[in-house]
Amino acid sequence: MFKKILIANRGEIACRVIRACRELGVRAAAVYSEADRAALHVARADEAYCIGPPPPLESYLNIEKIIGTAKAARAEAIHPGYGFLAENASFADACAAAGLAFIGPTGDTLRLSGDKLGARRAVAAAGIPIIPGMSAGAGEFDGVLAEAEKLAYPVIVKAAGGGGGKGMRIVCGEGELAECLEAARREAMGAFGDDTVYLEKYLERPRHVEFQILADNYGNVVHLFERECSIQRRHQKIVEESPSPALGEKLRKKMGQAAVAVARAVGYTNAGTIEFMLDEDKNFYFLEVNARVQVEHPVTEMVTGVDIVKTQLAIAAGEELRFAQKDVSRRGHALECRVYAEDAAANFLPSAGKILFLREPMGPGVRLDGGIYGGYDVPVHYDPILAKLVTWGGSREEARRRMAEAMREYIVIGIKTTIPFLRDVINHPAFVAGETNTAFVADHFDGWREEVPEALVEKALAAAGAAELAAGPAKPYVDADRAAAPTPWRTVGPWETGRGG
Amino acid sequence: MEYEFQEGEAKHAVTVERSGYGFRVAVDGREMEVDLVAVEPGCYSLVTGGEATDVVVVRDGSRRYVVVGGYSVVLEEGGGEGRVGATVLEELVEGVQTIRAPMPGKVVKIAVAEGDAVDKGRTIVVVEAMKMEHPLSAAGPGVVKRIYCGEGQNVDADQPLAEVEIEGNG
Repeated sequence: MFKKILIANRGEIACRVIRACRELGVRAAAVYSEADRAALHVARADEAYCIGPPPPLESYLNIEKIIGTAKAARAEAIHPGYGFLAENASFADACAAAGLAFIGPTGDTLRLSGDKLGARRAVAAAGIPIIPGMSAGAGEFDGVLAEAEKLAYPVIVKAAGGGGGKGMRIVCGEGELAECLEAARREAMGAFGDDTVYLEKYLERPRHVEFQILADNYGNVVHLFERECSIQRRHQKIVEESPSPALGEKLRKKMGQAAVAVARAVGYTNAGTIEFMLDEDKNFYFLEVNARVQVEHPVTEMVTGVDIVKTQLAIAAGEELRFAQKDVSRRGHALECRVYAEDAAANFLPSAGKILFLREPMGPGVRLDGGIYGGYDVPVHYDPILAKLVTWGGSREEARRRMAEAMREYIVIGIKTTIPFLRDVINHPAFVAGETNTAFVADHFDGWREEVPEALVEKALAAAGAAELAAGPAKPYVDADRAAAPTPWRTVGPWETGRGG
Repeated sequence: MEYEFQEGEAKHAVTVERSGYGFRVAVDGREMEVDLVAVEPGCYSLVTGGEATDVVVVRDGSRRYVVVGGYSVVLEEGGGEGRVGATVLEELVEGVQTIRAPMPGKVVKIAVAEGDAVDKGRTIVVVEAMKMEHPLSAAGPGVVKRIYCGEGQNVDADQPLAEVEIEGNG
């Protein structure tokens, strides 16, 4: 195992990797931009190095600077997290050239899986069904128009260079094509540094079902069953679960085998995910390979008991997988809700700013992977993910009820978050019934507003008035102006024991 | 003591006086006995009529954020000005729509020029923040009157970006 690794990421995933490092006795070196000096991952790490100004291109995407920092810190490996450089083949190559282990697949595999078009060709060649669409990048407008007509609207414009919902646009008719192409190209350029886009047939109400893969450097490949991630906004997942309510044992086995075949077809090593679309008739189509640890990996950890991040480190350090497919079992049901700094009532507009108060939930079967704290100022420069709330239960319903209760306990004040929206999603009858597909949010939550029960408004008013009077004019209770000021816990001084009477 | 709080569009009168170990509170004339105890900074245990609730109250200037039963209620003390808790993305005054930045970010595209005639819903400016693009569009058919920003410019929340004169009062 490594003695020290560098984590080329920030936020909750950097904190997650630091936890894995500590358990393994590996020193964790964090990097941060000038906007992130006060970020949680810096405080949690063993070492921390500033790598440049806030814009990602000058810091978290600056390959030369990150590799130089890793070498200077004498780290042996780099964990890229997700996003940023996680699926960047040049970065993986540069790590290898600098004698650093890249905790992920090889540069060649990243090139193949990261080129969504190349991956489509390789997977089709392995005999696995793919979604109808282009096999090369979109060129002149007239050609794209002809292709769109051939596929029949709606079609979807996708970035060849990446995922995460970026550079993606649904096109319902000819009139929208030009603007969608342009926006997708611009967003793709900004997010991935490559503006190649292509068209695929847009499946209207599929489920999104993906399989977690682990592959070592010795040809051993196993899957850790599926996650269903159908609840999405802006083509980005917000609720994930395992197992999928839609899969029976037979289909699960078949898709698992297909996932392993895809992993082998692209020469996959380390942890990754094979994504499929499942249509209403339960036909599945390969969607793409996510060549990284995924945001939703905790769901799989909860049901299989396998620590995916620690396994990533072990594989990168040259260890063989310690279990075979037949040894992987699952137990119960896990749910994850992604907490974003967004206003769900205003088209999921990002909401940066200071967190005035934070209370995170706890309890049986509750796991919180977070990257924030009370008083933290959420910067505008990066992805708005704040934390992931995960619950486990013996059944889907038990996990769901635990989630509902955990969300009731989860309080973030000062910025808008997706918590109220997610609470309403998991309590919706269609979700309770497991009737989930990628149109779920559009079908059931268009124009959503938080509706506070009247009785609670009255209680809030009574509490606000009483708290005002109780505090008196001279001593306000928690005051935003003083959110960064010492709390009584700090001003009271250290507790002393063993003295006096 | 008497307080006036605005919640959404509604104004509420709250009177509070000490009563025994707790408070006698009237919300819009409805009286109740409230036992409120601070349990940690910002957090209170509220017992009223035998019903227990835990409440968080955070003050931000004249604003109060109150969380009760998992729901968040935003109150503006003294009635406040305008709407509470809503982001004003655009305003229409005398037939002129002012397009403002919905959040701090960067202008990545200006889709029109001053003097252009536009249809309702036409994208005027695209702002990017937290890695996502947000197109801001015309509220009705009209003419682009002014553009206050340039592509690549960093802007603050609520900063005016463009004005569109809406035909027939939108």
